[in-house]
Amino acid sequence: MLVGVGGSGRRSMARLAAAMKEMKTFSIEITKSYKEKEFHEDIRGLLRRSAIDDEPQVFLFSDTQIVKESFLEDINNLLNSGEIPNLFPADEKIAICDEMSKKAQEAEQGDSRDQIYNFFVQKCRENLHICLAFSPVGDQFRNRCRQFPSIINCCTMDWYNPWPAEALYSVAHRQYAA
Amino acid sequence: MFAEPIVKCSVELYQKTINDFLPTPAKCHYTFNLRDLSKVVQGMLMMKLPDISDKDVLVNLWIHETFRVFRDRLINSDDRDKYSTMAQEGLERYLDMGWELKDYKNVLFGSYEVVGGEQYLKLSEVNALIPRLDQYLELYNADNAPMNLVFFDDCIQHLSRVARVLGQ
Repeated sequence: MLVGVGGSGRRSMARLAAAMKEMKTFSIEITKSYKEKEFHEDIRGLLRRSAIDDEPQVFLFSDTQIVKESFLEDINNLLNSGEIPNLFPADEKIAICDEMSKKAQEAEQGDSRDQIYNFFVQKCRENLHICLAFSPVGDQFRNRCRQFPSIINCCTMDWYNPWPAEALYSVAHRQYAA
Repeated sequence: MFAEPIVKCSVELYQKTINDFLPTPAKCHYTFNLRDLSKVVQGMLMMKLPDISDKDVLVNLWIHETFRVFRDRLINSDDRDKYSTMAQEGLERYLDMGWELKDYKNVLFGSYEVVGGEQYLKLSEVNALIPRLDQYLELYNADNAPMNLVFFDDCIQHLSRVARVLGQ
């Protein structure tokens, strides 16, 4: 979890670090009609990619993307247990189990439906990293921390300080040198 | 051989942290739990045994991990200095290391100094890392919307922190 005021470079850092680790970065795109349904759709895709395709992924989520507080509720669950209750409807769960069954057998995780689904969740936890970029300005950050403790407990936090003078100089230097 | 003092020192540091850094309205995220202590150990385990050549490296690694887990959470330089002093006391008392704070404060560990490197190692001087990071940035810019970044100390530190967590 990266906390700092806007423009301090939190997301750039996360993107570059992910690229350095050869991981894919995913973040949601907000449109006018973006609601829970679209958010769940994106999360489902994300989990499928990280477990079924076995790709390490970074989910980059910033506080400007919180259209509804329920998004945070979901992130809270995801951080805590690696899944969101009732995210997948029953028929899609079955489809996932079918796709995962071979891998679960290879990993000797058993072949009952519950075991396979647990394996899916476990894979998600291994492959998916969540990067939260929040701003500490105002009451919102405080209230959110209180309401959704997992975003604190289950994250390693990095607090961004204002840029030092040296940094501002070097940016200016680069700009004018070019 | 140094396991016991390190564990004792970590526990004491943790105890002091939870007693001294209490959550207040402005610092509501000052909540530490045992998970953080296990994160220190998890971080230390990222380094392979053959790479830990002597006590200095081990203690450096340990201090780096505690700084990442506890100190990065603190919000201003007063608190950070206070934490550093606590760590310093622990070092002297348990590990008998007379290091100055400046010797280890900005030490970084990571696995990106060598291309495709998997080993978690102590990184060289910050300035020596910049060409390496520029290379990564070029690679990134080749496939994505280009970012124009200037690497400075703080930036490298933050970058290394994110990369560390993503590697876990």
